[in-house]
Amino acid sequence: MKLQSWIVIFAIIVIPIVLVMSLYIQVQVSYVNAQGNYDTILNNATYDAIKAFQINELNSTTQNIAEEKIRDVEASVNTFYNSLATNFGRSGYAEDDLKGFIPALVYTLYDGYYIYTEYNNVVTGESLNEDNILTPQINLDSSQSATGLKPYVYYSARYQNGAKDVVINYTLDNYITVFYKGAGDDNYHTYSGYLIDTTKVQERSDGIYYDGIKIDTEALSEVNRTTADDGSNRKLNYAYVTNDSGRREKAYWDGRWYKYNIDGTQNFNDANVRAQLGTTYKQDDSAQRYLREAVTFTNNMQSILGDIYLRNIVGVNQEDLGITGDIGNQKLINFGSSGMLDTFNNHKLQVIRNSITTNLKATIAKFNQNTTYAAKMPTLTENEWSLILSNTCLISFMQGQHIGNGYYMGYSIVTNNKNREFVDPKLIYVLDQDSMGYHDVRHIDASLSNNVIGYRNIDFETQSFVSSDSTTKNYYRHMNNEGTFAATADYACIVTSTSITTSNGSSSSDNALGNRITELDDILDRAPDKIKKAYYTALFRERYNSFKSLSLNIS
Amino acid sequence: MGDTVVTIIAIVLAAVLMFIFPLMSVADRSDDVSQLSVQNSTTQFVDNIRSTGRITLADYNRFVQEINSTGNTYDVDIEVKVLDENPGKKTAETAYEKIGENVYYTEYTTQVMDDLRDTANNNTKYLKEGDIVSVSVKNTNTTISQLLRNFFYRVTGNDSSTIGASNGGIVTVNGRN
Repeated sequence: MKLQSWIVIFAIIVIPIVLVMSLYIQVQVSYVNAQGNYDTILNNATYDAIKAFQINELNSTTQNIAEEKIRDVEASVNTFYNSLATNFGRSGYAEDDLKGFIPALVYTLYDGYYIYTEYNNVVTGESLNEDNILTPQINLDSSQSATGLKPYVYYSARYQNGAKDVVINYTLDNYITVFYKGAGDDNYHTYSGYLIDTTKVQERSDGIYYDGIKIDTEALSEVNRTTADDGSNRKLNYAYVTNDSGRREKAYWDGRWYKYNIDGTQNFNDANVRAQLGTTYKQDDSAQRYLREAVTFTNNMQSILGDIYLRNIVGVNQEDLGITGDIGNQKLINFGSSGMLDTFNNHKLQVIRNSITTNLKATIAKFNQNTTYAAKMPTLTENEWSLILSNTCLISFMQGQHIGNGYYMGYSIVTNNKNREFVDPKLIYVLDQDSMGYHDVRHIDASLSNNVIGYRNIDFETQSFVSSDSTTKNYYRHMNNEGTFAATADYACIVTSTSITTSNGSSSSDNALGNRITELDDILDRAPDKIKKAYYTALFRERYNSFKSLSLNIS
Repeated sequence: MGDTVVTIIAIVLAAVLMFIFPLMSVADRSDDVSQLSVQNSTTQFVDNIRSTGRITLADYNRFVQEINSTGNTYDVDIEVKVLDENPGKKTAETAYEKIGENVYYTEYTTQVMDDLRDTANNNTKYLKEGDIVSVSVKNTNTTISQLLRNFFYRVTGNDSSTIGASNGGIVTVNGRN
């Protein structure tokens, strides 16, 4: 054969191979690209959803009533779908088109969580009953699917020791609700309150002390809607009062006390304000009340929870909670000894984590009944769990889109740092009222005057309200005395976070990975007393005044 | 005479088709695979920063090691835009319709690397929610594919890169938690 023919044969063999290989690799590259794009879209949609949730929650004057929470979550879900649809370039389709790819959206909140997903709708219709009242028809075997919020799940666990039957509802902080039935009781007794390490609290002749720091009353002050509206930006002193429904509200002192009605009008004649604050100015004592009530509650709980061991937990697989061998013999709370809440805190996180995992698995399994592509429950890493357990957040899952030669599978976790319900101990800022700068509490070498006070991070956000001339106005709560500028964030700690003290992790590899364990208490031990005092007082005040959906004391 | 010319042309053609063409093709595929790998690593690196709020030296080293394992050398540019809400707060709030003017100031690779090498600061660059991070990577060496293409086509300049990836986004969590 001639040389030319060899070349032709060679070309015929090699060119198709090269073309196919090139095509295949291009498909792979576009697959990886698409995956990256989808990850970004999902991340952005989740972030948008959290932002929507924050805006709705922070600017609501009547927030935290149960239905409002549902409304806020549903609005956030809509934002999620809209953001997703817009980013996919198919904004006309929105929710219905996309929900087949979203197995679950999990909103973890202060004392429980919502899952937005597909569920069996057992309400098949409505009919008039014999009294001519419209009642739902319920068919428990219905396989009709609907997408929406499943009922709220509380972070709860049940313990049985002998005749004792206890259900504890946990929250992200140390607030608990206990349902208790002892031997001979017919009904459950219910108690709600803050558990506190009682060894750290001392009642002395000159006041109450926490960890050696005296907790005083505070002269709280801020710009409110009225002074922002008239343009003076004057700071008014305020204190908290308990209203008829048991919630804590702000009352402002401007020569006389007033509070705001739900519609935003001023109320100078509220009976609760008069009864609790009188007619003269007095400083806010929420922090002191918190400590005293928490100590009383904790001591009351000793007879109920004092003999509950971790092994007494029922209704769950104990190994899932890490309760094996000797660990089961640990007491849930070691009343009276220092570090009495250590076991409790670890156990609480395990309970929350287990509850979310179990429910999520069931949700995704249900979702798979109606899809061609089987969704899978991803394994979340320890770092991700520590995010989820340290604040309220949104976990979103997106699966099943056909991209290139595979299916997309991804999830995203975004924490909600600005919410009114949960007081994150790390998001209390220390405000220097002389220089009007605020600092992270872990910035322990900040140069501060002695005129410091702690407020939550959300207090430094812009507030907006609809003024009497129906325009939307914005203002900041913490302004200088002349009302010309707002308190500014410190550059060393809040803007760049370079001067925030972190403690050492348990190993040097932890440190290298950035996993230093930030034990706030250890850092505070090194902080000057004025920071500690401002911090603890603010933390206790804010916790005492945050709304609790489960606040029950029925014995 | 005519036969000899044809034979010479045939030999040259044969050399090009049988050696250079496969070599170029394989080199091209090798670049594609590198591109795939670099793109993947960059996306992962950035997503990790966005979801943890931290750039750690360990993560950075792993990332550099991953992309260098493709056999090329790369230039890594990290850009961090730090959100600063203060300028909006310092002005008198007489204009009520204004919510506040946020400003971003930018730190580039050298500043970020200084933070990563600072053991006192935990070898970590901490970011906060709202900051923006972007990473872009491009190769600095000449790959075999570039070499061959430069030789035969003379279309690509000597300094242009063939492997490059970039990714970025808003940080969704405070790193100091």
